[in-house]
Amino acid sequence: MRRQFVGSTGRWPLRWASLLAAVVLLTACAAPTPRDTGPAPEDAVVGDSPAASVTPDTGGTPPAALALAEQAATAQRTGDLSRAEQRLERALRIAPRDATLWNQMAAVRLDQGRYQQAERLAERSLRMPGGDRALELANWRLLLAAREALGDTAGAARAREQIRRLEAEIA
Amino acid sequence: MPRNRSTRPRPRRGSGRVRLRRWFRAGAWLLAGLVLAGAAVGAVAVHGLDREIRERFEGQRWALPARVYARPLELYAGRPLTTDALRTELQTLNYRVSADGGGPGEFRVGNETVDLTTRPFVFGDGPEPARSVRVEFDGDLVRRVVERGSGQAVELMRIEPLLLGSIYPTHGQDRILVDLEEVPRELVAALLAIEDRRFLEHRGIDPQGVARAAWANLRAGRTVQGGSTLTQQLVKNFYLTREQTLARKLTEAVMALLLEHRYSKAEILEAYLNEVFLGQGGERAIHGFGQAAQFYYQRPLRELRLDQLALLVGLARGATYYDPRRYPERARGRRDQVLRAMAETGAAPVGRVEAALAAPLDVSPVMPQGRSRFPAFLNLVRRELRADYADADLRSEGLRIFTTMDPVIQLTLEERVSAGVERLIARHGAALEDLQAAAVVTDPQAGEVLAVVGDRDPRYPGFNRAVDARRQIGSVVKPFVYLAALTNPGRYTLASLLDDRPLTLQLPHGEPWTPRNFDREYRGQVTAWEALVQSYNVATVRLAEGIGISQLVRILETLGLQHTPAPLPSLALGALELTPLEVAGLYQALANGGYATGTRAIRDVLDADDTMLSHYGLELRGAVADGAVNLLAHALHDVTVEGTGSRVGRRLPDTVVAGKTGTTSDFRDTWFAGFDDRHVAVVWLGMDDNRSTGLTGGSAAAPIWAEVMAGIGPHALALKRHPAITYQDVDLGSGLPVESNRHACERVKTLPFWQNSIPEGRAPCDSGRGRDGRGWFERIFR
Repeated sequence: MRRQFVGSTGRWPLRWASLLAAVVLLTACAAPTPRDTGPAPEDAVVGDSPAASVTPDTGGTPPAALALAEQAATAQRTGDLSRAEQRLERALRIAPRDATLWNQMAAVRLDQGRYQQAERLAERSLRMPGGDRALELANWRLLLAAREALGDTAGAARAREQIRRLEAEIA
Repeated sequence: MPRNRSTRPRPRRGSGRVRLRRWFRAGAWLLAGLVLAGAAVGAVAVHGLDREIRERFEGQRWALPARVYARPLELYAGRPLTTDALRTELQTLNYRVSADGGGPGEFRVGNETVDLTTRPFVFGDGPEPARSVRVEFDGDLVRRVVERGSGQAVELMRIEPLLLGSIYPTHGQDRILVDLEEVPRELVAALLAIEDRRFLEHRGIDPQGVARAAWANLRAGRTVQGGSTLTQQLVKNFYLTREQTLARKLTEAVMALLLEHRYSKAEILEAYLNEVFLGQGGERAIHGFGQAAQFYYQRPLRELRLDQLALLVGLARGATYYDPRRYPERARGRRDQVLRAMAETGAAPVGRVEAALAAPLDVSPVMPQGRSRFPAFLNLVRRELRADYADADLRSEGLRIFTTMDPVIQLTLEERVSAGVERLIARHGAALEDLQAAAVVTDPQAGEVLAVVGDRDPRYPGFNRAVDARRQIGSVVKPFVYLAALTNPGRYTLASLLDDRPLTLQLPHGEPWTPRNFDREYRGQVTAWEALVQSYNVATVRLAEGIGISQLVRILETLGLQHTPAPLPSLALGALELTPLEVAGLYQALANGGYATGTRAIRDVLDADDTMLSHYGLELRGAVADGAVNLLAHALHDVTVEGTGSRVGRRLPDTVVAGKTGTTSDFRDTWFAGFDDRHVAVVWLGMDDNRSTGLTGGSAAAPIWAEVMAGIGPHALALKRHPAITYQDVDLGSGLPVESNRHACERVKTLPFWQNSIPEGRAPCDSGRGRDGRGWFERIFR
């Protein structure tokens, strides 16, 4: 089961539809008791190479956070950006280690015209362990849009390069 | 006076009569003139009163205090929460234990379950309905939340937030406005039965009522009923001073008539219910039944029983005289009078009245102080509000302010800090009598301040040291020296060797400066890891000199330091004065993948109609490379296990946390600043007059910090999940890798390296060359 990610939004309505569908499906069959959130000996994760991991790290994200993310997506689609923002803030308080939520927040900031925040949030998402290529690609698209809006041509060029690389890899 | 002059015969004779008649006529005209003039003056006066009535009655009638709320507790499957923490939260909210936890504001704790029933509440992002649920626990997690009626799972819900305090109007009146529709019918019935039985019939004044009251008082031999109508009482409270003159009585009557003429009975009744004075708590005057319910019973008005409503109604006659906390017998007598009046008028069935008469007084014994239980946090909130809101608006507009405070964490922090200070005083005696403390806990993801303690007595509303005391931070700054170095993995790693031999620097103004280690020992070459974990001063100053003090200044600014410190070498040892909250702000970046978020205590500000005025949202500020932050977090974890903060590791042996001790010259300040996966916490101890405490960060602040984290229920750091970090065994003597011969080396440590920065070569002990091969690797690795 995979969750979808948010590229630069306004231009990707299909992406949103698929996000919604995926989230609905995911919440429908989510495991009732995620246990990753509690204190665990750190050795439990030693040895994994998260960079090589393909599935996004949503095991520890409670369904409540996914539901909030879904509500945020709906609000963002209808242009209610402050509602989307508040829902995502609640979701992030519940699941701060979910890279997808940070990506979604970046997309809301982009729509709000807060480009520097969009850039930082997408970078934050990109830096987090547990993301996969699709999420990476979505983050680079946000970075591209934010940097173009900020007039950062060199940064935008770097983003384009990453997008080309990832698109080739995914294909 | 002749009615119809034309039909009457004209008098013919008698000039005396004519003169009399002329006088009479003149007198009549004069009288008419006077009456007219009087009426005109009266009309002007009445018009004035009318305008006064309308001005006060329309528009905003009352200055309403701003209410400050804690964060609401969110309940969902998978939430880390213990039954104890939930119980604390509910008790703080004045929830009552009941047999089934089924009434609003009631709960019941079972075996791994808590049943509770919430109240509806309107938040910034919309209303939250009341719910009656069972929360099922699985150890320290919520397993699921189930609606009790339907048995359906609740995905996510919020309990109403704790009221932390209010910002009162300058006249000190406190009230919670109620709508007539939400007021219990029995309250209105009781009020009319005892104060104004003909309220619905009269037009503002009630001669019949006066007569009835007079008769009743005569029979009783004392005043048991008043003759003024509710309208008159409202006028008295609303518009007039307390003086008792005939003129005032007259004005009161006229205004009562005008009020009735202008407004409906419902409007007048609602104004009365919100205006009437019902008690005094310190400097706070309790007005209206909404606030009185909270003041006497700590519950909303709609949840009160008949006997409780009757008591409040009884207080309208004289809240001071019938004060149920000071004169319980008198108050009970008054309550029973109200109840009997209800039975008499048929306002309540006799059976219910009898049951109510049998009920105890039941007023909550502790008078809620107008002062907040959480003065330090409220002080921080007011400081943040000042940036965007005028004081007058905060005191009058009925704003609702939603803060980030977590009451359970706040209470834990208070309790552990106070207990820690008490322990130190008990152990060290009179020398520490004046020891003070401050502490903060924040959520680093969004910079939300969860708890603030500004005094070793957390209830004391004085100097807020967490926010106002700027103190030298000492070694608490060192992580940022190492962070500045580690952001350049080509040049520095945790295995880099630093020179810890005596050092004297020439300061810019010409004075020499000789930093010393805490124990006055020098250790020659040490790894950066060891220098940080053991908090060696001389090696740290050399490292800061190597990277340039300006780099340290820059990184502190990137991570949120508001003012630019002078770039002196002593900065590397913490010659910098910061508040505990500012230290927490800097450490947040270490706990948050390198992103600074600032600190804030407010989420939303709503006006009295629940419209959002401000939302203070998630914002990422400056950032440093997360790989460097991860290396640093590893070392700071080791501080808590084998370094200066090892008391932390002993208290929390199974939890990965990270932090740094700080002790300033002459033991003036002792610090511990650190973090787990979800919290940053900072503890400071010292004397207000900067005297020596004789304590160190490791011996005094660290144990308190560990107690705080243990109380919060720490979330272990997952340090080993970074994709660009690899691990290597390193010989601490040489800073070089140990591949095969671990036992041959005296001190070996597994260190993290970022971006393939593991040093080349092998440790002399590993390769069997002994430990004197320093010459060549020192050339390569400084």
